[in-house]
Amino acid sequence: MSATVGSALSIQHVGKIYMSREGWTEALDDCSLDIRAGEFSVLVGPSGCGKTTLLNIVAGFDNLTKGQVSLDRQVIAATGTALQPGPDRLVVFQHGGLFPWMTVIDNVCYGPTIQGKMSASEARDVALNMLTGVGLSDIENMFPGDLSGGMRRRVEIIRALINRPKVLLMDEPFRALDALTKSVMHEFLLRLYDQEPYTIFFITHDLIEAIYLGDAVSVMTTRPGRIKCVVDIELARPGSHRELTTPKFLKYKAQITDAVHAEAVKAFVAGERELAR
Amino acid sequence: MTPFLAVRQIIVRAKSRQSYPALRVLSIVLLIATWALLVQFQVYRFGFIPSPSSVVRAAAAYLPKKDFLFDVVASVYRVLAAWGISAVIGIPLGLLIGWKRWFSDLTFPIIELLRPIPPIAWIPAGILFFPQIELSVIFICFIGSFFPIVLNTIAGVRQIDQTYFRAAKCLGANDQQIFRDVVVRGAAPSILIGLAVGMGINWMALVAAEMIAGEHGLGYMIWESYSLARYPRIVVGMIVIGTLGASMSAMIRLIGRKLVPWQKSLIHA
Amino acid sequence: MAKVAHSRLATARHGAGTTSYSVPAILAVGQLRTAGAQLLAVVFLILVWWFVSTLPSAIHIPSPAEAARSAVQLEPDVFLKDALLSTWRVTFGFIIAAVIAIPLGVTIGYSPLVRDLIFFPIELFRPIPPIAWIPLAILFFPGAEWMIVFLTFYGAFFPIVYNTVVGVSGIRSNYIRAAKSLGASEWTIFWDVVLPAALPTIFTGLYIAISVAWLMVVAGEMIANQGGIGAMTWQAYQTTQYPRIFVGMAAIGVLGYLSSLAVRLIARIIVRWE
Repeated sequence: MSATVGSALSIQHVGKIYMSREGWTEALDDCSLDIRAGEFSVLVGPSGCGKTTLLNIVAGFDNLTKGQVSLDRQVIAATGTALQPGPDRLVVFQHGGLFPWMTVIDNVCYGPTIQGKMSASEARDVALNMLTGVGLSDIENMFPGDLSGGMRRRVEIIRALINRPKVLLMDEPFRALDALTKSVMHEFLLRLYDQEPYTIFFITHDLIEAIYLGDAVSVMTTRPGRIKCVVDIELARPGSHRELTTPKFLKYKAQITDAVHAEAVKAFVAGERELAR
Repeated sequence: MTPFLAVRQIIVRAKSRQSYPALRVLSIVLLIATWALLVQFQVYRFGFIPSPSSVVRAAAAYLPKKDFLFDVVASVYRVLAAWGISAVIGIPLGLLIGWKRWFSDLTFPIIELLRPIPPIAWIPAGILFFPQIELSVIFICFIGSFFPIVLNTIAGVRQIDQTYFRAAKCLGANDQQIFRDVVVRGAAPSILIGLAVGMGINWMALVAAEMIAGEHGLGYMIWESYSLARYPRIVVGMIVIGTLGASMSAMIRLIGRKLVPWQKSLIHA
Repeated sequence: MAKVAHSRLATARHGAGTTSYSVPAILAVGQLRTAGAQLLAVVFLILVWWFVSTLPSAIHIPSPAEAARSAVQLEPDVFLKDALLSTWRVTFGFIIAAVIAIPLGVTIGYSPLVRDLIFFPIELFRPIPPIAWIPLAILFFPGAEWMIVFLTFYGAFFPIVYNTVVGVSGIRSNYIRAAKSLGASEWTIFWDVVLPAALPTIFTGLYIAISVAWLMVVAGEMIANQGGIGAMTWQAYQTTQYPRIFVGMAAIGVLGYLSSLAVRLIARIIVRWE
């Protein structure tokens, strides 16, 4: 295993209150989570519980109203600090963030070139290498609109990784894919992670995906979100899809399902009550 | 196969088709024929309008003349000048309004206030502001194309998914780079639609301005033909204006499709 | 054409990132800000107008004060008569256009046959600016009144037809399949599925059509010179009563805006679910 590329991410007592026309909404209550450098951390929870809100705060898209977030012990988000998203905390977006008006190669090269870290030709070489290395050659002059969903996701991940981020934030990136493509994506991601163990903060609602991919799975409660519990996954890496039926896997699955299910029921009931109001 | 079944097959096949090019040709023929007949037999007041044959004769007499070329050049020049100016002013304005809230608060109310006033209503004011006829006509056309261009540009910026702004920030872009790489390029399809629509409205404003206040140009020629009782030339003028306007809009759309190859659906406004 | 509902879009995502507010009052301040900015815009425009009127070359342009004075001097009943006349002409032509164009649009949406046989030649007329029709219309119609109404009709006709066609043919096939599987007849499907689903688009067409109709009325009135706000404005120009020109322009703008508003209100009542 090569040296760790990523940094340690520390989320401490983060809270978030939203203002809307209806009044105050407490989205996050008291979230604390410690992610070691190079760890693949997965966060699960029912819909609307605040997972994406937390990720947005870590990414620097949104302010927090309580607590702080630090990267390698440097505070990057606290009450009163300005928002500063950046290439150290790159995001892979749920609905796709590739610029539709740029070709694949321009998309991938965008980060290094505009930051001035690489010249245009340098960036192009590195990008082509990375794309070919994961089996995506010959598409560099196509537009994202011409690619399949799976290819778009892979290109977006490469676009993030070429910047060598300290932490890679992934917001339910495979949600829109069908099950077969999803499993190919999992193996793709795990292979990349194997070569270079980035710190990854991954959000999903799919428990099997969570256990399969993660070193640790944290469960978030329904709104207002708190981290309910963290389950360390001790399965051998790199995993294969056969792992999905071993007793150890199933034990983890049962454990996490219990934790999440209670929250999902609460969220469902709360949703019904809100509609009835 | 009996004739009945054959006809039925034709009808079934015809019903399932999506377009009938033969019918289109037929419909044009029918239209011209109906027109000719209505004028010939002076149905209702159709006797007062020129017949298709007189229009063709008038076209043959007028189109080769130098006057015609002169009128065309005059009108096209005015349209292009006004359109160009409204693009140069309107696009940057629209981009800024769409992107920065503070700028929108400052300038958008002014635009919304002036927008309901149609270009025609500006004609008297335009003549006052710009005593020169050329400038006043161009001003009216400018009013015509300015608002569609600005509004479509604004809409183009506002429909850009927030995700792309976030992605650009993540990748380290500063404000300038975001403007160049996200705002402008993301709004490009809508800007082109605005330019095409603006061109169409430009022509409408041109005809009005020329008819009322011009001294040459195609619109003026139509009005002159009317006052000189050379009625068939009116129709010639109408057809020429229609053709020119449509071709210029189509050209813009064509160029648009080349400039924006990633947008599959850059079609009609 | 872009229909931008300013306040709603401006408060939705502006694309430049989000900030969160921690004080409830800031929301109300935001709305106050927009209203204040609009007031500032009006003041700014009046200032620009006043400045332009003081320029030596703008000898004919009245200052805002003069225009206001002339507006006050305007005989209210004459002005009202003109305004009502224009409004009547617009409404009449607009309604005729809607009554013809909507069923025609529905038929075209349903039948490519009708589209190619009947609509195709009509489409050929579209690039000809409505105003270019004025001389022919003067020749053909027995009086100025009919000529103006025809212009209004012509202007309103095309947007309504096009939007109706788009609205009817753009119905999601899932809705129609759902209705069919519930046992609906073709007629029921039309009334209960296709028409309601097409209404928002149809209303967009009506909204565009009313502003075009106003354009046409003003043009027709300026040329025919038989009463109405357009004629009043043009007369003011010819009799060098310049302040009245601006009053006329403002009146046209206001009336046009009010009529679009009326269409939008009717739309909101009929299309309750959007």
